[in-house]
Amino acid sequence: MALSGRVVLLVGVRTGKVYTVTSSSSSWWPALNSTGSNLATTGPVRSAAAYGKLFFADGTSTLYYQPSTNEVKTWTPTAGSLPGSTGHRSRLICLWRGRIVLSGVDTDGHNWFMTKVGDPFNLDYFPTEPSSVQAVCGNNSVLGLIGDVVTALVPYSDDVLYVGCDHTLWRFQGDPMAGGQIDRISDEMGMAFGSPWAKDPYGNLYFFSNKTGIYVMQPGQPPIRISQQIEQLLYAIDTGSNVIRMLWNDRWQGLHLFCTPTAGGTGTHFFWEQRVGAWWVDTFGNDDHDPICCTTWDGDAPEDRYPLIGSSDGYVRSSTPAATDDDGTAIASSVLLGPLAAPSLDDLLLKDLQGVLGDGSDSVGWSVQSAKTVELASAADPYLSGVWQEGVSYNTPVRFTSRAHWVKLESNGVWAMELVKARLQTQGKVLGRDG
Amino acid sequence: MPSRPIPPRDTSADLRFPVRGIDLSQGFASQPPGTTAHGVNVRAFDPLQARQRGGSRPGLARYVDAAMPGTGVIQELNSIVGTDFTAPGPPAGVIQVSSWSQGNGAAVTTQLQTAATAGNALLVLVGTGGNYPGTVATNLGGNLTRINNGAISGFSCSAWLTTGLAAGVVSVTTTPGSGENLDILVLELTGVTGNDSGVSPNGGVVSSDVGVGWAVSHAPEFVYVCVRVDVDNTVTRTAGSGYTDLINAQGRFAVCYKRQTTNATIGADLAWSFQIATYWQGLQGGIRLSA
Repeated sequence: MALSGRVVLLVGVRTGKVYTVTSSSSSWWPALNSTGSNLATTGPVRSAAAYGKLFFADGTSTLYYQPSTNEVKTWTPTAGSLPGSTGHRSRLICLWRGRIVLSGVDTDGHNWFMTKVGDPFNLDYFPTEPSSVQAVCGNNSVLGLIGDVVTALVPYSDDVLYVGCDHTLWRFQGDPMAGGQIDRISDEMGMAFGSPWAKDPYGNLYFFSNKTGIYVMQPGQPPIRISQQIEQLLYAIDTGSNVIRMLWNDRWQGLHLFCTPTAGGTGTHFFWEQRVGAWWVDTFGNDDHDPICCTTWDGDAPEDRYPLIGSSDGYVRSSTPAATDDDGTAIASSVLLGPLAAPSLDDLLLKDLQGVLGDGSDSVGWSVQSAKTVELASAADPYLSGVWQEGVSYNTPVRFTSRAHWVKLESNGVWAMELVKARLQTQGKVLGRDG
Repeated sequence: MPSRPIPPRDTSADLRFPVRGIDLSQGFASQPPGTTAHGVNVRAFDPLQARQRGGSRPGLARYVDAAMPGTGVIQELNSIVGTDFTAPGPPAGVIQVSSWSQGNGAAVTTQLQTAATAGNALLVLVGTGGNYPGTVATNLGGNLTRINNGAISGFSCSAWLTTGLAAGVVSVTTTPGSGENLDILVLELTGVTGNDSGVSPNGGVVSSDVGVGWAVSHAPEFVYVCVRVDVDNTVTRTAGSGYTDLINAQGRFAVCYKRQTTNATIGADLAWSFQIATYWQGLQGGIRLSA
């Protein structure tokens, strides 16, 4: 236990059952469950930690986890009742202003529900003595229902709760029972279902819209699209058949976007490096690594402050600089350098190449892709290839003439690149006349 | 005299890593500086020195050595921080679930990394739908001995006991039947220093409608282990209820349930779980797994 006396527990759900682990454990400890029911055995389960307990929302169950007794217990309100009905329970949950907020009931999609402040077991919307801390919901509040089907809950701050909907965005400003209000931020975009959002330490909220755009937003400002560079790669994502999750990686100062098919198969993932505004495609060589859940583990030890993903094979993994592969599966990396092309559209003779890799790099394969146009060259078969080792490579003759060249680097190892030097020679106007 | 053409001069181009990432928004010939048309599993800040020079992305490592029990994807991860509870886990020094895994229909060799403490006994329980595990090996040292003989009605469970251990690997090779799962539970028993390979199973069918029970005793510590198969995981046990053989002795014990969807048939939903040991009462020195 830390000097502060705090205990940090990682809680996981698999096949509808709850397990816990601490940073010093090597195996999961099952939670007791004598309720007679489990969480949904398939699909995402969402949760919110509040007052030392973890409350679940999976659309079917009414359960919570109590770590002090290591028990999964039935979420039975002491006053009022949980939203929905048997088999039609909340699928969205968060903690906001000391209230558990629920939504995503498939039979009541526009509604929102908030427990009493400080009491997740009180959903009495009509207490004998009304107060500003009582439970409240959309259909009994002056604020009313959301004008669209709710798809996401984003507790941004104590004053602001964003509500993502099917094709609109809304914002709770202030407590609904204390003069708060609901404002529509956008009627042109919404959020994908679930938890398609993340926050960075600088007050930025990132989210994946219903139309597969990625936005950044701060209160008081309109959403700003940051995915223009990769729109073509996002268009094909089916928001209905993929679980879309975002996760801020503070170690690498960037944003993970995970898109994993609910029916299994290869996911489509991206990473955005905030410092340089760079988007990259991430792939896992093993489909079992594709996650539908993730969290940032905030333990005491340095190795306990990494983003964690829950994989299909039951292992929880972290993105760590010490890992040279993906838990035994090689990381197939590749990047195109270039293009090399003469502005005058003259043919260009690529005479030779020389690479400089970082010290400690694994070997990196290089290849030259050439064609009459830059576009064709980007997809051309390699004309010539080789391998560079760490440090400075020998000058490698290429001696190939074309209008455009790209140099491709590929590796299954860990590598860093300092520089690739290419020696070129334009071939003049004679060849430039050739169509 | 005509002038001779001036030969073209060589130029040198430095190709830097496209630290500004993928950009497909412009024409191919207008690729913005510092960007690329293709970048998979790479980063602007390299993994070796975290410098902005480009390289491969960092990899993934297991945060928890063991897989979370169950099948399919992990459905949720979250954390709870508190000061009013201690981390749940096995009772101190008695039971440690090291790992378990499942296979299906094909010969499997499963290795479980244990973290046993030297001097403790390791009890390995392996069950399949119908076949006994063919081989259990360990590099843990000590004497790994099978301590049960013959089939148990409705449930095949093999057990091996070894002592004098340290952290190591238990390897199980077996061929589950088609559609069957292989379940392995490794228990660390503190204070069990001997190994009685001549002990016969004590038990058999405890209750025909709820499954079978099997117990092993180990002198002189009188460790009793009961492995049950229940079709109804809401059934609780009280002292004396079908466990007359267990409560007559002193000592520590471990209790575990293996839940099935149907009696004697390995269903799709399997998990080792620990139920409240209500029948520990009466045993001197008995250890309750949970409150």
